[in-house]
Amino acid sequence: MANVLGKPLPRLDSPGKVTGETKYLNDLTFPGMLYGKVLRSPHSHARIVSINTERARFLPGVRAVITAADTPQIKFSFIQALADKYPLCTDKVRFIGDEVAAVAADDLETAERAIRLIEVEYEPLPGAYDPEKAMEPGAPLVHEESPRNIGFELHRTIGDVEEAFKAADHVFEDRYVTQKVSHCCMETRGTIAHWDATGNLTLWAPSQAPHTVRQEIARILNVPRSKVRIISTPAGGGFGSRLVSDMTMPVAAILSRQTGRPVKIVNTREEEFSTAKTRYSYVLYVKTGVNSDGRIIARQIKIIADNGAYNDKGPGTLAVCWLMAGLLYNVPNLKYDAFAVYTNKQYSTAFRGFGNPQLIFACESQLDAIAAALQMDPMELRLKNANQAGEVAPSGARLADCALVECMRKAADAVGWQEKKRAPRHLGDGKYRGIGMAVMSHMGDGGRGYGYSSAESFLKISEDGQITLVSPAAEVGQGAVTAMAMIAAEALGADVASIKVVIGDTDITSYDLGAWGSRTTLVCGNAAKAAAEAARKELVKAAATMLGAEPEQIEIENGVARVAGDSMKSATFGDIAHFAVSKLGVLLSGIGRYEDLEASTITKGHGTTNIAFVFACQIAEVEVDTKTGRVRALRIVAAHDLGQTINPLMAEGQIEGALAQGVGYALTEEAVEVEGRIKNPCFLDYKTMSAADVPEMDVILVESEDPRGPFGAKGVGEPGLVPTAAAVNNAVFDAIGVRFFALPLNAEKVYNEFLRSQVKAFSQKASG
Amino acid sequence: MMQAITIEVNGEKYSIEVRAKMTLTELLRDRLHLTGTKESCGTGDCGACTVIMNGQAINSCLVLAVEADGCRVTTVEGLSKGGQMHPLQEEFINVGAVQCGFCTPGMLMAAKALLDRNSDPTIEEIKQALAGNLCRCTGYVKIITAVQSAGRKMRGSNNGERAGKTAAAAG
Amino acid sequence: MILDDFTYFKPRTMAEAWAQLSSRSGRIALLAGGTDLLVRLKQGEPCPELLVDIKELGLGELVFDSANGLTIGAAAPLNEVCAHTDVRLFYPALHQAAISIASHQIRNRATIGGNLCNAAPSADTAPPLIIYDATAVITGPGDTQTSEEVEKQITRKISVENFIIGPGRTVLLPAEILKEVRLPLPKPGSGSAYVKLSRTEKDIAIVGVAALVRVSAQGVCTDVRIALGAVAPTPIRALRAEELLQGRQLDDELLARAAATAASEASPIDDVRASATYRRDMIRELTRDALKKALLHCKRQEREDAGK
Repeated sequence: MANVLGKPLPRLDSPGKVTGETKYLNDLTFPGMLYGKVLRSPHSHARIVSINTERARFLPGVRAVITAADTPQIKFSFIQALADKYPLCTDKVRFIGDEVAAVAADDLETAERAIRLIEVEYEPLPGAYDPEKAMEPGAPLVHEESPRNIGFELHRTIGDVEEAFKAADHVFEDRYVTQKVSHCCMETRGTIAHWDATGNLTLWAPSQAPHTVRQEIARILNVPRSKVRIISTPAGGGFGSRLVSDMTMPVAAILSRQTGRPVKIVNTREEEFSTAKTRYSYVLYVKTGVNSDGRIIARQIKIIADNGAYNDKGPGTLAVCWLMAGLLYNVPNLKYDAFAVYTNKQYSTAFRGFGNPQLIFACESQLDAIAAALQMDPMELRLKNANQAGEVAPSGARLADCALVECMRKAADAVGWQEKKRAPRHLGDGKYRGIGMAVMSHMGDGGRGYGYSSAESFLKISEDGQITLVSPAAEVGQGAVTAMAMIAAEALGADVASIKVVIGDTDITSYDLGAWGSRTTLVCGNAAKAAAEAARKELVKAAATMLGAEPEQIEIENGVARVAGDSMKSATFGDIAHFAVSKLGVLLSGIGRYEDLEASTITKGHGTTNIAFVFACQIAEVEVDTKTGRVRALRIVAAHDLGQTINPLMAEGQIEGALAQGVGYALTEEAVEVEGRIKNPCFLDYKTMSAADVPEMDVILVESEDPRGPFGAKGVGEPGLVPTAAAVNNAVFDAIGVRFFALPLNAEKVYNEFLRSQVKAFSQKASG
Repeated sequence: MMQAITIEVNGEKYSIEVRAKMTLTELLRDRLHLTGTKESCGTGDCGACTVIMNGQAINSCLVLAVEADGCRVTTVEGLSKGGQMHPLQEEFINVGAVQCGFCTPGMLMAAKALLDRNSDPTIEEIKQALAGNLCRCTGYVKIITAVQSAGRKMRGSNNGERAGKTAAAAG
Repeated sequence: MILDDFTYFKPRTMAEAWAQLSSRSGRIALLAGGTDLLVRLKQGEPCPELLVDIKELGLGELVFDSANGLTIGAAAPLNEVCAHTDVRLFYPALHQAAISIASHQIRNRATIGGNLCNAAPSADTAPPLIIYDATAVITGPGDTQTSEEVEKQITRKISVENFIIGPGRTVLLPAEILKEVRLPLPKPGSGSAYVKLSRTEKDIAIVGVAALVRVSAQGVCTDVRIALGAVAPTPIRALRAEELLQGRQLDDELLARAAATAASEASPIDDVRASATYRRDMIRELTRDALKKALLHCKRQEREDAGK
């Protein structure tokens, strides 16, 4: 019987956050701390002719000014083989925002004035802005070493798509485009670096992956990893933006080394919008062969991903798209060609969903069109092609469980799908209502693509009953700390409130790859469970001795151990720990590991890269005002499979937040860029959802038990926004009969396309 | 130019010299070390810096410290009294309205200002009152629920107080 | 952050204000709510040497009486305008415009005066003030230097329609302060509305239209005003559209023609928020919508008056 699992318990970190006690990065000050600012390129592509830092150096209060010459000049990228970026540019700048120089000063104002005094002479170069054009011969090269501006490419085939297309009853071919969007974490990026007199470097930052960031920093600063310590501060959101090292980290480190003092650098909101990394924008060509009965027999996908100026998580997102392309439906013939293409723009990084939202927008929008062409109900078409539990997808992915069908049915029931499909669309006065569906699959375990998917936890019980769990989980705001505590509490039989979770210090926690790919629950959760189970063994042994019983007779519940059948014989965890220390000379603790030994042996890109998958179905109801083109999302029903719910408040909260991001992605969000310059670098013009904009949300948590997760649980961090844009797009089609192939569906676009469709329909009628 | 101001923050009076260009956010965070109030945009678009000044919710990033001379300011640090959390803080915790927490202080102050002027707001009124507080994590659903339940709690305890007074008067 | 410093001065009387404003030669800025000015200073606009805070000059009042109409002090915060029952009843377009601005926090500080003096083409309160024939009352210190004569303010009036002369520019001369706006009582039987197109619920206007109509018992239009925001360098009257409706029977077809005419009188631009073409189409939509809503308001007034 579940002690704590599945209960809507309050989060352990909430009290600090509601009282203002919790200290985020910019709330920290250290004695002697200096303030740093980065001088960023105003050009999208230019040669650096000269840099003169004299005037900056002599400004009173300036303690250091650095350029590339002050750095080890080792190229960086998350994947070493693709390294292409120096922390400070050497000969060329490649995007507006590229780091050129930096200062550290006594206060922020002096630092701001100092960077304005640095004189840089640039020779502007022609830039590449459209990724498809950037691949053509004669296009300006962002990196001379990368012909056709290809930073990375991935090609995979299963079966024979050409034959299958020939055999198919119908073939559909479409081009889709998704836009650049910003993470818009409420906390901007930042770091404090302290390179102290003993040669040890400590970096404070709201990192999603402190261990891998430590690796990256050590490598480009050319110091041993053991000299680098990352301390994760509580993050004000992440969504993937804090996975890979920001260049402000090595820059702050070098400024600190030069001055001998801690140096803090924090991005302004304008810097976040204008220069910081975004989601990959994709051009997707999707060709699908179906038979008249609705079976998809072939699919060919070509993706041109806009890398921006440097490599980051491009390879990863393209790999995930490959996996997902073959996972959602049982498609026996698949061809996949994907390119991450350099352009002279802000580069891209991981963002919730990691390529999947882009892919699902295209594939699920097209599937809806296929349903219409075959005159099948969109839900029926999906049911016809869905994978079932136990199946092996063509890519090799093993679906231990598959709740896709259940998600679809539950969502459809909740929204009243059949009824709504029959309801009138035109409400009068140019307003139309529509309903649309989309489904998705995603990983629920991060993945073994890096050859490692393990974690270790330590748990101790002290004499006052306080339990400490040391976990490598990264808390990005998603509730990892509470999830780990609940899993440990469940395994140990403890009261959650008695558990303190220690995270985020690379000196203390085990090597872990970080919070991404919705992996924390499965990987770190399994480690927490194992540590709790190990500690429980010791606890039971000591309790047995203390209570004069056999270990098998000991029952544990809510922090109390008792002898079965004898309610007089009981002791609290604290009592037992005290007894163990004082009478037995023994500590009550345990170490537990989750070790995925297969990880190092799997072939990259093969389906077994992941062991746990999650599924979801979302149905969107929209209202379109064709007089202005404005689309309002009225309601989203989201049925998500997550194995076993650890904490329903947290799971719902994750999905609700993702839905808000998804609706923004579908309708209003876009980092508008013209020749590399972001034209809307502020919340005034980059429109995220406010409380007044969000639709009604119905979250349905679908439970099945994934044997690989702790107590059957798997990840839920990302899936919430993966199918939303497609569901909204399909709902708009349902409302006004117009399909969109490019996000976002902003009012002007919808207005123009609707007009166009009316004109077309009118002239067809006239000529017919 | 340095200017002397007197300001009351969370019930404490401060006499400080500030430069005219200093914003109220900077005064609270950097001079008074009340880092609960956050700065997320600095241009009045996101509400993370919301505090209550003379009873009104305002964006402290767009108020000069000198403008706050002689004013009473409440920040998130002033919400709980004597170790007892405000019903809003309790409900935000209980209902799951806090994820990363960065928007939370501003959100709480905007919500408190709402409940202080309207103790029984409709969902629409809550949305309008909080429309200037951006949150990227929660989708606002549980925040709205928390404000409603905090309002109920506050009305309930007011009733309790009145009942107590009546009983005392009668007895 | 604001990079440069300035001197801040908060006069308690107009005399104190003039003493500073007349004697300085450097850049002076007036501070009301600060919700536009501080943003501009943070974004790099050159700082003034002196910032004069006008919030203690007694300019924060709203006064309404059923004979003379409404006077709004330049420093009256928008939320006070929003909450005022007489504004809602008699000047609904102004109420609708004020409540659509930004957020509750901003409206606690932002002022009508600030909205007008900031003179953005998209200023939401401008089109409603224009249709209500509002007058801007400006005070200045005059030419004299002696302290007695400094007390004698020079007052001049100009229609709000002519107050804004370009993006970010008004008719205010150095040392002048916008004191208040005065709105005459709308003639009985008139109805008005403000319609705004934005991208999300709380947003700057992509297009803003305010309309006022007054119809006779026979349904003939005896009074009409149409003002457009965000579609020209300043908020403008759609005079030719008004001419089309004046003295005519208002039917759907005529309203549509007036709306199309209004669209042709504007000169919208392409920007990151919308294209000029779309804005022009939306002027048509919103003008028709605003006129219809104004007519509805008319009819509601009629029914209420009839019921009395």
